[in-house]
Amino acid sequence: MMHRIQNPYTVFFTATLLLSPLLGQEKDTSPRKSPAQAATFKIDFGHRPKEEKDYKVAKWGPKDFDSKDLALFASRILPVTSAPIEDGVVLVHRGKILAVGPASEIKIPQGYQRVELGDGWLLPGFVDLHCHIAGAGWDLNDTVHPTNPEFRTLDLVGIHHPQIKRALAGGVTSVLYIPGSGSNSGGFGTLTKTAGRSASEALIRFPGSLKVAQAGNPERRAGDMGAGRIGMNFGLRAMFERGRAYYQKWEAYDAGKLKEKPEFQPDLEYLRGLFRNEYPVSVHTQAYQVCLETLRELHDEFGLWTFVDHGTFDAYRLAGEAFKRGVPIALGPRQYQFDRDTSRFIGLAAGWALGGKLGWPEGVPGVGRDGIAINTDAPVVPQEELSVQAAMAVRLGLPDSYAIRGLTINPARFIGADHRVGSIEVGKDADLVLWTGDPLDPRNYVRRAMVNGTFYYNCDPGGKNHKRRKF
Amino acid sequence: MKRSYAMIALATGMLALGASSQTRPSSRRSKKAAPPSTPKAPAKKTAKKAKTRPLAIQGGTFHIGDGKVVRDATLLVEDGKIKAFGFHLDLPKGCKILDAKDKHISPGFIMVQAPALGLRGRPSKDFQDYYNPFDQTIRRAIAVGITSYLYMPARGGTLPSGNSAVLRLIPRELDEILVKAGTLKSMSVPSSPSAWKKLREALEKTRKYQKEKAAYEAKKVAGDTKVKAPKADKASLALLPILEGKAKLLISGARTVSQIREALRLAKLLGKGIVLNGPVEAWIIPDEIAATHSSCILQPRVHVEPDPTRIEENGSNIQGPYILAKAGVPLTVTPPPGRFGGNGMGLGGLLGRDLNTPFMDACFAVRGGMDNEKALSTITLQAAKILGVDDRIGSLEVGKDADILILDGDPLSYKSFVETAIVLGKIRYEKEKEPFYKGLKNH
Repeated sequence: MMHRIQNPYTVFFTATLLLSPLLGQEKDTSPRKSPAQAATFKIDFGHRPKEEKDYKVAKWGPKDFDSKDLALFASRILPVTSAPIEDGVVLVHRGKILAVGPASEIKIPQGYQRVELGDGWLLPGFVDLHCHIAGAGWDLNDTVHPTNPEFRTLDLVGIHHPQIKRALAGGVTSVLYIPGSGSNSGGFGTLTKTAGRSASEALIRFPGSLKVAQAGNPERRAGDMGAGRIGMNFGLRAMFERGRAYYQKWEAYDAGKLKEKPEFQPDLEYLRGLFRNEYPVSVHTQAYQVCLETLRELHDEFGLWTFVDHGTFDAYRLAGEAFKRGVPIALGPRQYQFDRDTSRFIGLAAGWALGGKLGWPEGVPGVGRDGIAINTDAPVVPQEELSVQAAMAVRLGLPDSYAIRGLTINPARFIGADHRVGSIEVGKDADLVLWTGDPLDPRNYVRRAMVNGTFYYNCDPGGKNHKRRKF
Repeated sequence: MKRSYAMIALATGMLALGASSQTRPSSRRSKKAAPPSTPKAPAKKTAKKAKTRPLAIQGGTFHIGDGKVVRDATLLVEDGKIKAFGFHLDLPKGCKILDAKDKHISPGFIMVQAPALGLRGRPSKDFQDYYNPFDQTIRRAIAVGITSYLYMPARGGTLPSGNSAVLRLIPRELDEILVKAGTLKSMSVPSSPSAWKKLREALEKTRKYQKEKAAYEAKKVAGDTKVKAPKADKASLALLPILEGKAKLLISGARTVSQIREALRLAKLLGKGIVLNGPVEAWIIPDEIAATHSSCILQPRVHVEPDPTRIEENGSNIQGPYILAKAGVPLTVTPPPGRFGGNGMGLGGLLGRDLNTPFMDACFAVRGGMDNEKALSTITLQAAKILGVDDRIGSLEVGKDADILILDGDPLSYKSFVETAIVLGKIRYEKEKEPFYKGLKNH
């Protein structure tokens, strides 16, 4: 493929070689000298736009939905970002949460239909940042070039397909539908709800993220750029250098510093948004060395809003490095590492979140309560089993409350959509899921699930629209 | 127990899988080491075991395995067996007491679909040639509560075949690893009218042979020395253990209602219940399955989307195990098969979907509506019944082998860990003494 874009690569290869001593330096950050445990984890979003209207490249989905005015009564509500409410009520108006609180305190406005949900726990819908099944087929892994920033999953979303409908049966209402890891960059993912009258209604934001596969898959068919990490890292840097140059041109033009309007380049346009920090880069990266490359190359060198996807094997040993940089971890699937040195089963979520508290590496802070999320990589783990993955993280040492946040508000924040999803708060989308009990216990199941104010899944026995349970 | 490897190998040969040497008298191994006429060799252990110290588990919640729960009782283990169970027991002198107050006690888990734990290579014949008691998978399996599993190399064929064995996991020892051999045989459902005809004819012959054999044995017992042994062909020898009830047929690949009905024809023809492995749509016809006394090995999490073009009910159902159990079908559950570890004990699998959490699919039976204790039974007593070893293992009942787990929570809780595992009356695993899950607990 070199013949097609030979010049830019050559140029940037040279540029990167010259700059790399400056860019790629790891700051002196010995884990032993790490900041005090008391410090809290803060995601490094870069200079992302403050509000939806400030976005230039990314498009946000609809905000107003045609839904009934409902008053949902539940015996237990877990808003996640505030204390649990016993005997609570949630008011839903035009797809949004109008009010939430104890039934004794919330006044039900006239015209609101009362829905008694009965026993069970009402939670916000879960958010999975690693999903490949929001479309009908496995058609998201083209590897035309070693990096493919020209690709996007937006057009593939098939909201009525059975496999994405099953997500609701597992309480998953938002997914980041990303390309595969066949090449070092498979293209741009779509942040979408798992139900809606149409794909455009279900859209939360496009692009949701840029998918990068640092290593550990692209090797298989990386093309003629090189199939070792040295070659793959160059391919990624070359792509980002081109994207950054394009972004800088547009920024200069927008600021009036460049008179001539830059030429529109479809394969670089979404990279412009990436460098505007409108959305993060979600990086398929696992194992210590590869993950370190991600932190240094994507976060330090290019200043991208980055989150680690997978983060498995022994990568949890970088907990301190991720903490320092504000790079959060969307962990999974495969919730453990069998440490061959000690024959121990290491809980990876616990390792990342608790750092040194887990025993290794000593004294290193973890990314804590706010830095860990759980993912499935559906269909590797079926989409509906997201909560089971979280349960396994808890089994191996992650505190319950971290796990619940790791399914809801944390991934919502990692992807920059926490003003829409991830908790039961006034003004957020009414994505509500009724469980028979604690969602972390695989013996409990989803009875009803609502997206944008409409119930799309109902398997209450004897219920009006009772259907066979999907999970 | 210090022995040389040569001795161990010899002992293993003597162990001689009973049924296998019976059905395959020409087997290379049995020719050398075991006389073909000793099908009960494992039971006739000659070497006398040194008496082990009795063991009592006191207090806690005892999950019997048959669906019942008993609290704050005492269970006494002696000579590898459950000697007594109840309240206010008189404990023998020198008895080691395990305080299980606030703990949960469960029979060891029995896996019907396990990788060949402790077996290296691709064993296709007698398992003992491949068994390594020092294999780490054995210790890791015990650490999560697996104490026995079904080893079954062969699948399919026009006649019952396969060298099945229910093996017990004991680290670093070769003795007593065999619970029972030959209790399951696999076979394919005949696929054409002519194949059915052939099978019917073979069955007729087998029944005839069965009668002749009985008459011959009766005469022999009566002292008739001249009587000639009846001759049997290959098909009769293969079918005989099924007709005699010594082995059950395991049928894999019957997933849809029509495939299951076809398999049930086999059950009716034999007059014996069969074991259906992976019957996805079994929940649609639970009564038909119960009527043939057949049982099921289910994967509760396997999802098959209903095909809307089929008029009749179809597809999978998470409530399947619950529906079948309600109809009285004995069943056990296994993890979903798959690319990423499915039913493996390996280290690259996906936790929650492999055998590192062997209780998980019983959890999914509960998710589908089954009672917690009945679901636990699917991986203990019910599994033992399906494997034909419920006289030995599967529940906390007096007289059974002492394969017992002490856990720090409900056996089906995703947070629970096995703290102590007793296999054949001896403590074989203690969580804090082994590296695997050291320091982790139900939190």
